[in-house]
This record gives sequence, C-alpha cells and structure tokens, in this order.
Amino acid sequence: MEHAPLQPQPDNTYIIDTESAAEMARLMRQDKLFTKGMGGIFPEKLDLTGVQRILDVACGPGGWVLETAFAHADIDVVGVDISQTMINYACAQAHIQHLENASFAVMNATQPLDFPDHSFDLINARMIVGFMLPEKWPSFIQECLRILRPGGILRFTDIECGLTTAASFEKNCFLFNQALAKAHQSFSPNGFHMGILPALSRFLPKAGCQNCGHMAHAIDFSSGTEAHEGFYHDFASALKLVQPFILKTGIATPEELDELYAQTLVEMQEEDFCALLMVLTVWGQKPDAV
Amino acid sequence: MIDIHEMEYYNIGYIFYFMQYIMTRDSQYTSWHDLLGQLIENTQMKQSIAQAVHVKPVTLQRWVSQQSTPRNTNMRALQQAIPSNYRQLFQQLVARDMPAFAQQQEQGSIVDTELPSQFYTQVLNAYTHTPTALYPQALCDLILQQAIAQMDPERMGMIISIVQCMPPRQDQKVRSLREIYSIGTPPWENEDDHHHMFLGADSLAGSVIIGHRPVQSANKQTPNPILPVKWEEHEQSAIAHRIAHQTHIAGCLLAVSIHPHFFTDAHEKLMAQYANITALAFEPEQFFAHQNIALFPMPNYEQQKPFFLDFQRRITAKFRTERQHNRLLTFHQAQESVWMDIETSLLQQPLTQP
Repeated sequence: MEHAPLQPQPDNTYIIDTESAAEMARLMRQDKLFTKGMGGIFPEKLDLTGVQRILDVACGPGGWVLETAFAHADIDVVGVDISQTMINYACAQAHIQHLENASFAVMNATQPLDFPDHSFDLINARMIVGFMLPEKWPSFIQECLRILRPGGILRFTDIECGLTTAASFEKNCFLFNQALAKAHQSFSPNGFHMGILPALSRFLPKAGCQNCGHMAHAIDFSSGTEAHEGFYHDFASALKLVQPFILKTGIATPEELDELYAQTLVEMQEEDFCALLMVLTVWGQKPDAV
Repeated sequence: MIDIHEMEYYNIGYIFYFMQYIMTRDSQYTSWHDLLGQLIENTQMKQSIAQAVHVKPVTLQRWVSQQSTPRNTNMRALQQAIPSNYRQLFQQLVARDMPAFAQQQEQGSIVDTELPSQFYTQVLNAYTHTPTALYPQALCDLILQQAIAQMDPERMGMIISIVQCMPPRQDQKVRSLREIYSIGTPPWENEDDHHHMFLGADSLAGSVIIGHRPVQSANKQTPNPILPVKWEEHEQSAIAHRIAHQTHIAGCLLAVSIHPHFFTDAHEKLMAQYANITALAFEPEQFFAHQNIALFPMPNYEQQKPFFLDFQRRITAKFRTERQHNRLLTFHQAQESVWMDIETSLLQQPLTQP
C-alpha cells in the first residue's frame, strides 16, 4: 500500500497533508462543486451593502476568495491559511487572473489572527471541521469577533460525511468518523458522525451574535445526477488522501482500507447509487457592544 | 444641465426622453467617464447598468470620479451594458482612453505568457508524491486548473482538454484519440457540460498529432480546406498543441473558445508550455512513434453518444467479473478496458456527415 507522506507540522491538526499537491487540486475543484451545489457564493442572499473587506479563514488554495473577488470587484477579499504552499499557489492564481482585490497570508486559524481589531465587514470559514478541534471553536469565534467590525457578519459553512446507499462508502465514513473521535476532533459522543452540523447553529448565538440565521443544503450526488461525476472524483481523492489519518489511529489496516477503497469506487458508479451530502451555513451579526 | 433628480419618473418614456437629450450632447464628452457619469445620473439607468456589470451602483460612481478603475472584465461587461445607441460612442472613447485594453480586446483576451514558478513547484510535488491511485488525475487536474485560469482569466468561455492516444490495436497502430480530462469556464464550467469523446484524423487534435507542426489553430468562421474540423455546440475557435517526449507523441492539449478567432500568439506560447509540462502525466509506454499513429476518422458526437450511455454499468460489470475469477483489476484498469471496447465498436461504425 502506498500513501502520500504526511509532513509533520507542529500545530497543524488538518486531517490531510496540507502541503500535498493532490489535496490542493482536490480543494480547488471541491470549492467549485460546493459553490455550485449550494447555489452560489452567498446562497443565503446576505445583504452585502457596505461590505468592503472580507476575510476567508482556512482558505486553502483560495478557491472561495478568488470566486468572491471575481464576482465582487469592489470588495477586497483576504484569505488566510496555515499552509505556505497553498498561500503561494493562491497568490499566483490571483496574479494570473488579474484579481487585484484578492490577497492572501499565512496564518494558523487556531492561534490569534494577525489583524487589528475591526478589520473586516464579513468573515467566512468554510469546512474547517477538518482541523478545528471542538475545544478551539469558542476562542476561534472570539478572535473572529475581535477583528470583525461592529455590525459585521460572521459566517460558517460545514458538512457531514455523505449519506449513501453504498455499504463500502458507509464503512469508509464510519471509519473516518471513528478516527476523528479517536483523535478528539469530533463533536459526536460515540463517533458515529462528525457531529459538527448539530453543534454549528449554537456557536454564534452563544457568542453573543445577533440576527443569527442558518440555511441547510442537501446536495444530491446519486448516480445520474449533475453532481455525481464531480463528487465521485472528489471522494475518490479524499478517501485516498485521508487514509494516512485513519491508519494513524490504528482502527484499520492498510489492506482493509485498500480493499474498501476499491469497492467504494465501484459502488459509487453503480446505477442505483444514491447519495446526499448535508451542508449547513450559519451566520450572525456582531453586536455594536461587543 | 438637465436636473435629473427632479425627474424621478421611472418609466420607459422618461428614459427615451433622457436618451434623446443626451444624444444631442455627444460632442461634450471628453472621456468615457463623462459619458458614463451622464448616463448614471438617471437612478434607474444607474441601477440597471450596475446590475448588468455585477457591481454596486457606488462602484460606477467611483469609476466616474476615477477613484477606482474597472478591471478588464468589468469594462467588457460595461460596454455591453451601455444602451445600444450609446455603445459605439462609448467604445470609441474607451479605445481612445484605454488603448492597451482596446488592443487586447481586439486580440481576444489578456494573458500573461509566463507560468508562475509556484506552479512548477506544485507540479513537481504532485509528480513526486501523489499516491498511485490518484495519479495522473491529480497532476492533470492541477495543470488544467492552472491553464484555464491563465488562458481565460476573464472567464469569457473556454474549455481545455487533455487528449490521449488510445492504446494501439493488434496491428500496433494508434487508431483514435480520447479526451481524458477537461475543465472549462461557462458555458462549460460543469463536469458534464462537455462531452468527453473519441477524436480521429478528422479533428484538430488529430491534425496536430499526425501533422508536421506541433501546434495548430482553427476558426469556424474561416474554415481551412486542408484542415477539416468538426465543431460541436458553442465552439468557434480552437488551438491544439502536441504532447510529446523527444520524437514520440502521447496526445495533445486542446483549447476551444466560444469566441471566433480568440487564440493569440500569447495563447500559443502558453499552450506550448502547458503541453510540455503535461508530458509528465504520461508513462513512457503511452508515447508513440509517429509511424505507429495511423488515425481513422471517428463518428461525430451524436453517433458516439449511444455507446456512452451504459458506460458505468459496463465498468462495474467488468470489475466484478474479473474479481469473481480472482483476477485483480483496479477500477482504473476496468475503465480503460471499457474505453477500448467502445473504441472497437466506434471504429466499425459507418461515418455520417456532421
């Protein structure tokens, strides 16, 4: 069995090697898949009047930042990520696409962010469950509120593993969820799910945000749907790239994972493969008094 | 000076009157900023132009007062959003005030001709470290995503595909090509917006692989009698560059635009660089000597389509059958085997005119 080497990085809790070019390519495609599956960059139709500066936390190779900067030429969009490789790539992408309103910096989202108070009108973080430990969420949200201007919007989007009719896919998800729980990166009490979706809606009201809202999306990537091919490729990459993380927890052998992986690819191509991906976006406004 | 703000009658009659009034004053405009400024004095017009350009009304105001400058993509949209009886004048003013933009617009698009060093670093990273199961897809993905961003930065409508020689038949000859990966901007931004199909001698990809020049371009509006190309929906112009290692050929990189005569010398330079780097995605045995490539014409997409309908079922059936006989077959190998079966069927099809 062969795996991409996991590069040791202190303080980096992301479940996949952040320096992997394969992961970078996957994230770029995944960004587009989710944006389309959710109906746009801001499907909840946020009022962007007065929004001049946006921060995207854990931006990876910058897909969401680049899309937002392209769609909103009059808004400055900043992306931060722990990976120097991802940020270098994102900068190069912004340059060749002539997106002067997109910029990037290396930062660890689990540490204090290197921005002055009240720097942004909107802060976005999409799919950070892969590295944000449950106990880190409250301090992360406080840090976001510090750099958000009063009245500014905080917005999170996250996912659960897909719900499918394929036994091998389900087994893969189960092992992944168990590994997350074993690594103390899960909200689920028994590791049956990632558990982030039910927890997500609580964060913002608890932190004192106002006008909180949420919007759920169920992306259908069953065989024969428009989203199938894209998510087939995404999972084909993700399930392989996450194997070192599962192996590290010792809950499966390399041979078991390889056999499961091969079966999953086949089952995902079956005509009767049915699958849903649950996505939740929550948002809230920083009150003037915070 | 008409007091626009006193006339907030947002109806077609008013707008017509307003336009007539402006038309009598054309000679007063010293720049496109002036003309835009006058047009957006009408609140309804301002809103309408802002919507069409996908910016906020205040952004139009900033452009007029030259506090900020529209990006090229905004300027293109702005030209289209200007009322038709003012468009020509507006374009003339833009051509005078922004000659570089006008020249680049005539040439199709604005592209940098150098590949960022960071991109090479990532390609080598993918080449060296990607697990076998994800190779070469991850590498191709990386290359195509970079290529589309650089070749079509303003997302004007382009698709770029990697086209590969199908493995030779019993006679050791490559008989067709197949699009294996592609990525596009609207109208081809979704994975299934473009049909991955077999290509033959009667295609631009075929011409560049069997011809003498490593690069060829074609335009639908000005067909070349010695370079017959079948055009699919939306396609107006195309460029292809051979993917080679020394004298052997693996396939080509193919870019297609929805705009006529879109591809410039800058695009040709980029295609050469991207084609060279794409060669890393192929194994040595996937490169073929020129004399071993003898492409046949291939049916058009409508004729190919029925063969793709049960593609998934055929792969899973092949995979399961082989496993039942204790023959280890990867999913990728099962896929390739089905593609070869389809190629065999297509080569036996009578050809019809497109």
